Amino acid sequence: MRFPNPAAGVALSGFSRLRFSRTVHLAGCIPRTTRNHERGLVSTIIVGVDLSDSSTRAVELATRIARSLDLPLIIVHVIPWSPYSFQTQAENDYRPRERKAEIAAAEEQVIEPMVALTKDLEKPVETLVRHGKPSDLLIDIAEERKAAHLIVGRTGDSGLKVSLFGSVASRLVQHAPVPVTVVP
Amino acid sequence: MNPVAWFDALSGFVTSVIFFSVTLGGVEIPLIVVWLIVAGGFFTVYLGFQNIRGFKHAIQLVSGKYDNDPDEAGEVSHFQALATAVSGTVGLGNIAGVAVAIALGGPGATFWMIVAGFLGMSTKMAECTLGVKFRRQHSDGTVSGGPMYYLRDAVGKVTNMRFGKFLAGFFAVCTVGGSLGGGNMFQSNQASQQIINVTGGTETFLGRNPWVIGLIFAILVAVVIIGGIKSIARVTEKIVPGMAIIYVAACLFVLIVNFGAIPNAMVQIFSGAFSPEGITGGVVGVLLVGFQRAAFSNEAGVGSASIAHSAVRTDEPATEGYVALLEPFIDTIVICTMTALTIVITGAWARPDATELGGVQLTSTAFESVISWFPVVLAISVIFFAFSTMISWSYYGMKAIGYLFGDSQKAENVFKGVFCVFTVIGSAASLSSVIDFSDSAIFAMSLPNIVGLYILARVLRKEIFGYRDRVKSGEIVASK
Repeated sequence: MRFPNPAAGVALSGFSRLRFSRTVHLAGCIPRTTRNHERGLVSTIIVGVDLSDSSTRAVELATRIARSLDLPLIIVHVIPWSPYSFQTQAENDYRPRERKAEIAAAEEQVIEPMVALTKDLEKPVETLVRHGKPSDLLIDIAEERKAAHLIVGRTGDSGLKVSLFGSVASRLVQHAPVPVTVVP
Repeated sequence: MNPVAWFDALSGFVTSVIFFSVTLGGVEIPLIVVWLIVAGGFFTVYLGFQNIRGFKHAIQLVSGKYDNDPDEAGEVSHFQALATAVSGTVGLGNIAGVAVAIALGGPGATFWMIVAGFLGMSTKMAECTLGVKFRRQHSDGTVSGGPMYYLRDAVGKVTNMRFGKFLAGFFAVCTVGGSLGGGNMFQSNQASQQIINVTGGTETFLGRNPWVIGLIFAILVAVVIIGGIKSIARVTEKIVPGMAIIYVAACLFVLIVNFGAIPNAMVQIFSGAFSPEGITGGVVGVLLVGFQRAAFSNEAGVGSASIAHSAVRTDEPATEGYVALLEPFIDTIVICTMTALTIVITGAWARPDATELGGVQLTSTAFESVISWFPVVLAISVIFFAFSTMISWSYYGMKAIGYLFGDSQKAENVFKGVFCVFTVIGSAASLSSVIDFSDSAIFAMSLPNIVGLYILARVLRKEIFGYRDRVKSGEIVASK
């Protein structure tokens, strides 16, 4: 199966599911990651990837940072998906099967090549494939996993859509509750 | 005998069976309409007026407030299940059916349609909750649901297996009929009428040969359901919601232009509902017409939507019940009422030729009196509504055939062919025989379905109240 083209999804349009609004972020004053360090909780480095070349460079950078700080690395791929799209009966019918196929394709075509780039880490890398809106979900996961640092490529693989709606990277820079590095 | 004449004869026979009427105090009362009214009333009371009390919760579910399981991301959401079901029910019943109701029953029919929509919310909630509760999960994660399954498995268990199988089989046969009738011929008939209407009337080539339009529709349907070209269906599915919004906006525009006439229209609707003048059967006559057209439009009690709603990903069957009660609300209380108000306010219903115009042409006339070019927009929306309803109903028909013939590919292919032939017949047959057959077939589905709903009423109430209690107690919490 060909990897589903993210441009076919409607994840970047539609309704926002932002869980961590900016007010919450400011109200916290001290970034949560700092607090986690103070409490001695284990933090992580999260890298968001897709099929693009800049993702490759992001993973390489993330690997170097994770190794020098001795922190676990999590590679995340988000399959663009919106619960508010309009679908036909047949699409709804086959959805559970399609979803499995999308996840399998993502594992094989995105996650595996990216994991291969992290062999210098000499540590197992955790991987996650989820459906949702990429920027929102990366923020959710960064919060959940107490990330110290979020790393993404500058240009994704979604082409035209990005120039219309703004990239995942720029949304993360604006909304993420942790430091974000955007790799060109 | 040509196919159209053959069909007219068949339609006459089926109608006389399904619309068996009793005459009470000089009014002819089709029992099947009473059947639907009683079911709506019963479930509204029995489920404790969830159609009012559960409305807010329904909106919260659709907006995703209770989606907090990451494993569910990427599966069919409540919103998607509802949107798909709505685009199957929003069809010509909302545009043409309402016009028929008002032509026959006067403005008062509007009031009874709204009441029917309100009661229909409860019936729809009942059938969709059961559809999800008793659906069958296949090994690849896909599901089959709908009345066939709760009638066979759940009703069969409560009563006896043979009775359950009989109801389920009866339902499936009626679904095939409903799919060919209301879900196909009625749509193709009325869409063709409106196309002829805007392309120069009955004296043109298309006007004399409406089957040509039917043939084009049939080819498009065939491309989707036989050829498997999904992109056409997908595009339709994305355009239909936009069309519905344009349609409602146009109705609102007509209302705003005629703002001064609104109070008078309201008076006409209320006085027409309780003391109609010159309507056969008086109050009861108007009530029956209103209920019949509302039920035809929102399909509550018919069981079709239960098939569509079953695709949702949830562990709580009651959630889809709540979501489904929005369907008659959108379909009947919003869209049908808009059509009705437009026809009443513009006075189109009072034209001497209103009854002859009937259906979509009457709605078109109402719009034309305010926006001269709107019949063209109406024709375009009608084409999309009709097409999406046809695709949805071909799917329901196929599910029924699949149930009857054990998922035989051959039977499904034969059905697809027959479906396309009926699209052509529908475009050429007369409106009255198409309406009669469509009504009969769709209403016939409600016979086995509602029997099943009554038998499972206690199971249903336990499911819905159990869920509601857990939401109240805080066991089930909103995520955001």
